[in-house]
Amino acid sequence: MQASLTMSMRRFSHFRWLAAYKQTTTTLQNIGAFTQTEPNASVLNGRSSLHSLLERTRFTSRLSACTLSSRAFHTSLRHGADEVISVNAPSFADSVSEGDIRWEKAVGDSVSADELVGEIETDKTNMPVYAPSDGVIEQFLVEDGATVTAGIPLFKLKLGAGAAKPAAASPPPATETPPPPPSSPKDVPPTSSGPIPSDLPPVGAPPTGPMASIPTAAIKPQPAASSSIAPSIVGHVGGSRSEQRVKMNRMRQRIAQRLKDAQNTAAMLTTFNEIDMSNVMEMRNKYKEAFQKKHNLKLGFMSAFVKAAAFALQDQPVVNAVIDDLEIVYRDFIDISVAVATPKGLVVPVIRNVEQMNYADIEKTIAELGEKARAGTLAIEDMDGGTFTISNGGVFGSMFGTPIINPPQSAILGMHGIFDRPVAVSGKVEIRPMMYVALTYDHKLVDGREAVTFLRKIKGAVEDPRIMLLDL
Amino acid sequence: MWKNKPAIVSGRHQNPWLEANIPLAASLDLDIARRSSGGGTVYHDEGNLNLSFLKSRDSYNRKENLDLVVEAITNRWDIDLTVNDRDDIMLNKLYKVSGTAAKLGRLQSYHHFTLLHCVNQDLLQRCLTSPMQGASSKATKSFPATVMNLSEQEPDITFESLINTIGRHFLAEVGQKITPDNFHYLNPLCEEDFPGVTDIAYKLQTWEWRFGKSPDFSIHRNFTGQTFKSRPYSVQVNVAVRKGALTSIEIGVDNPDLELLDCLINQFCKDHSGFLLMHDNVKDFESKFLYCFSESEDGQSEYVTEAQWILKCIVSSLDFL
Repeated sequence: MQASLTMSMRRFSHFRWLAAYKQTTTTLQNIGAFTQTEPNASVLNGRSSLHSLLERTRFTSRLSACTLSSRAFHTSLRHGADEVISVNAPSFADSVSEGDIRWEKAVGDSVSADELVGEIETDKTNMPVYAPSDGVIEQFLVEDGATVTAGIPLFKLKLGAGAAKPAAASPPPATETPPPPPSSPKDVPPTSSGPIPSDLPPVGAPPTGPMASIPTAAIKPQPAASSSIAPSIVGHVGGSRSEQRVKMNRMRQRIAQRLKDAQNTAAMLTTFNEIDMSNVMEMRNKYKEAFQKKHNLKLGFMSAFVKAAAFALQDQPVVNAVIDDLEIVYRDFIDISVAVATPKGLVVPVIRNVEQMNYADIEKTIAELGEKARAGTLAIEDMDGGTFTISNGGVFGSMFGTPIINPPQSAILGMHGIFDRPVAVSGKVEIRPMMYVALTYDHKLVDGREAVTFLRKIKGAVEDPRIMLLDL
Repeated sequence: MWKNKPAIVSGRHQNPWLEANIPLAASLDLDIARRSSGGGTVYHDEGNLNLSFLKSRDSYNRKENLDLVVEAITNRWDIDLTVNDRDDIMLNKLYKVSGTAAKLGRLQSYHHFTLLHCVNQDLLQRCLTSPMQGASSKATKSFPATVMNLSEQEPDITFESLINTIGRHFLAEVGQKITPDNFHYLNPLCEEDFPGVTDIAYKLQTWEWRFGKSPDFSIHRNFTGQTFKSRPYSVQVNVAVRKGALTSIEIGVDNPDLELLDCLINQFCKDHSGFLLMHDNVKDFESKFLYCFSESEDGQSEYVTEAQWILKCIVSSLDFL
């Protein structure tokens, strides 16, 4: 007995210190942790240091019901009834600093220990706030929906179970007003006993203004002054018939303009070919990790195509040229525009002097431009010029298609999706990953033979990059 | 890991009327649900994979779960998935393919998130655009983002391939291989396996939980364009909603000739408000109003039109239901 008393003394010394320290209000951490039974549960989230002393002992958070204590401690532990304590917010998980408090109970509600008083919503996580002991909620120190930080006082609880009947989820006051069956109205003392009053409700001194009637059927529901965008549904048979007018944004207007201009100036037609991607994919699988390690970039397919296009453009310079009035302007630099889809729309930044770049340089430039496009910091200079465009419809799953030239250029290469197809290889049927490619060109400048040769050069250079080294 | 038939799911402390297009959902027979965890409103259909990580309170760690799934997917398929600082999973660093929410209890916790692989994006956009106007509330707001389906990037990604890949990776983390014991379908509504679930399911389907738990909000609308005795006037409608019930409707008419009507209508509204915010109740209110403010023997017809206009204003303020 003596031993256990000493043990208890040591355990409760903290309480005793607290008890001596308190005056009329005591601050306690949210001590829901007291019900943890796991002996080696770590001290989480700043739950009170009391917990570390009491880890091997099971406590309810009723401060008065400490069955291990002796009588002397019992008295000092029990807070007097009607004492008001302030309950703080627990510390937050996920290193978040603040959240919104949502009260489940109302002022005046009776709560029992460990009952849910409210929830704190931090960064998409809901955390409970429990009542530390029986009592009645006296006051909320922050209002519903307000922002709270860890540890700040949340509400005042008046201790004592005898405040009212122990609340087991007492229905919030507002639910007295609406009864579940929708038809019966809140009862109005002066008038109706039945659902529909037989005459106008007397509403005070002025006599009810009598009005002529309009049969209800004649009233057609109209949209109010502010037009509603949502389709009207209830009671209607058949679908909605409302239109919605949205002004085209600037980008869309400009795109529309340029596309039409391109179609009007160029004599566009498209030639197709297909590319066997197995070599590229094999090269990629073989070197992608080394590439990632050295250049800190992902090795994609675009670099293969961009480099192949540059090679083919050097071989067929007329595709890199453009008609200006009555002259053909040949250029000795190759600037390739790469179409990038951003949530805001299609943007086409330019990679300059591709003829001097290798795969790594190309990937790096594409990555930089992609970052800028995403951040929205692409400048006009980044998108201006360009002698040839590559557009990749394959990311969206397109198999086959005819791209539109990007004026004032003379040709555009369209890449499509890679799909496994049976193809004939050395007289046998094999399944290879195949991509259809399309070259739309301006026939005013580029003849069929040049266009087809150009596309075949791209095919060759992608399927076997060695021909670029050998200049074949 | 689970999927469900099309539904709009709002967070615990949200206002579904404010976050989603409830009339559209009702017309398409979509379920409207509310979960217990926080966060914003999302659209689910069978092209969305839900993942719930149920752990003890001590093991709660969102990044760990998200990283596990991202790793599982990128190990098998060559796509660019990253976790951003809002704990969303982003595709190509641009498009959101997953949103996260969590709930902490005393001893347990859960963290769940979505994964869009083949969802109906058009329906998603339409469902998550609320027609509500003029509302002010302290409910948690959703954070809209541009989304994309994983299968658009990699057609091989389906519900089956995802659960297998993620399941295998998850088990591999603890050195296990997939066996029928540790990887199988279960019925979440089976009362024997999960005692108490029937009650929980029941509670989650009540109107009170789904709509009534919305934080208090109010609506302020202003309608112009009517004239009375060739004097234009406007009608202000103020509606207050608490716990899903319309606790007060107040109107204000700024035409002195209509002051009497103003008083009468306000009194009517005071007497007949307090109903739950459902269609039928609003229809009821409407029909009572029309009955009350219709003819009487020595009728003055001019007020009837105005009264009915004001009713239209009130009903229009509630057109988001």
